[in-house]
Amino acid sequence: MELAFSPATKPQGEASAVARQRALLMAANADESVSAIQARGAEPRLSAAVGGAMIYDERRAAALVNVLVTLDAAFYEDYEELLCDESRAGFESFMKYHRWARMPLLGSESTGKIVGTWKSGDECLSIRFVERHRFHYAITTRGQDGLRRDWGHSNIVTFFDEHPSAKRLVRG
Amino acid sequence: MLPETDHIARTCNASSLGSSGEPTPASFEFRVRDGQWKDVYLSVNWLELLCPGEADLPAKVDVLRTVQRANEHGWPLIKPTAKKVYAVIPVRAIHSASLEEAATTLACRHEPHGDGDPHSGVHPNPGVDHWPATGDGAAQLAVQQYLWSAVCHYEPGMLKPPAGGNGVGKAAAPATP
Repeated sequence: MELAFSPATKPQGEASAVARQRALLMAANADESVSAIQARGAEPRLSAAVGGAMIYDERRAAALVNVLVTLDAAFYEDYEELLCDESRAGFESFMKYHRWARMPLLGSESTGKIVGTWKSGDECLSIRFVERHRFHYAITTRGQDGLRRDWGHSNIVTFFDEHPSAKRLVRG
Repeated sequence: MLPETDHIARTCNASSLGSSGEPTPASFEFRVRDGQWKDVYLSVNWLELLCPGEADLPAKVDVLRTVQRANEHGWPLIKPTAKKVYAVIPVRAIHSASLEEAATTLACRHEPHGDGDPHSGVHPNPGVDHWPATGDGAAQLAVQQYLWSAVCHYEPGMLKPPAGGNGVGKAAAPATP
């Protein structure tokens, strides 16, 4: 079993404790018991917290890969081409940057651009991933006067600050 | 224009569908090629032209499926396959599209290639010549989202025969959203 850090190079301090745990978990069996982790000198509470987050990230990354592979295969079958690289990168960036985002309903347009949609009741948000950091959005929300539609261009960094209702839809 | 009591069915490509085979806004794309709008309208099929009366939507879609599979007149159409999906929208929902913010209304018109052809189109007004020719604009995404939200029924383009049956097929779970 190989660790990410040799004893001579292991980092120090609280950040180093997290990094040490991450290295242990990456090297360890994911089903390894807390007691076994503790036997190696790890803090069980810290390792459970770090382990839980890592497992979530790994599963989420695997789910993203899975959904994109499936969509790529379907797109290739329809058009004998692959999905738009920039759009694919945009969707991946969005989902990695916003780790709390639910997996959307995902489809591809004939251009290879990916469109993700999040729905809650009769409200919904659709995002067409145009480039790595830029996308088009269309959002339908329910207000006092009924359904309201809005749309525009935005980016993964500022979008939810500009559209708090979108955050509610994506979070679920 | 098509009667508001009727329905249209859009044939959705597999790559536009969600992981469970459901339509998405990508299924209602107005296409652009080489800087020009390829789709002046969205191609759909008028269900009640082929199956008037009070039959349920799966029965009406089945008639469309049969006609399209046979295509006796050689009309240009997208043949139904197991991986494609028919998405049904009420004409009333299309005509009442509340897209005032986009200054766009939608209308269903019959666009037959010959007598008895159910081919129709969802026309935006003003038309695509008023849309940016770069194509994938956010306003058009809003139109696509609206159409998707109005889907009242969808099912596979081709149906699987029941196990051990006589080969006459019925779908596993046509879906009503």
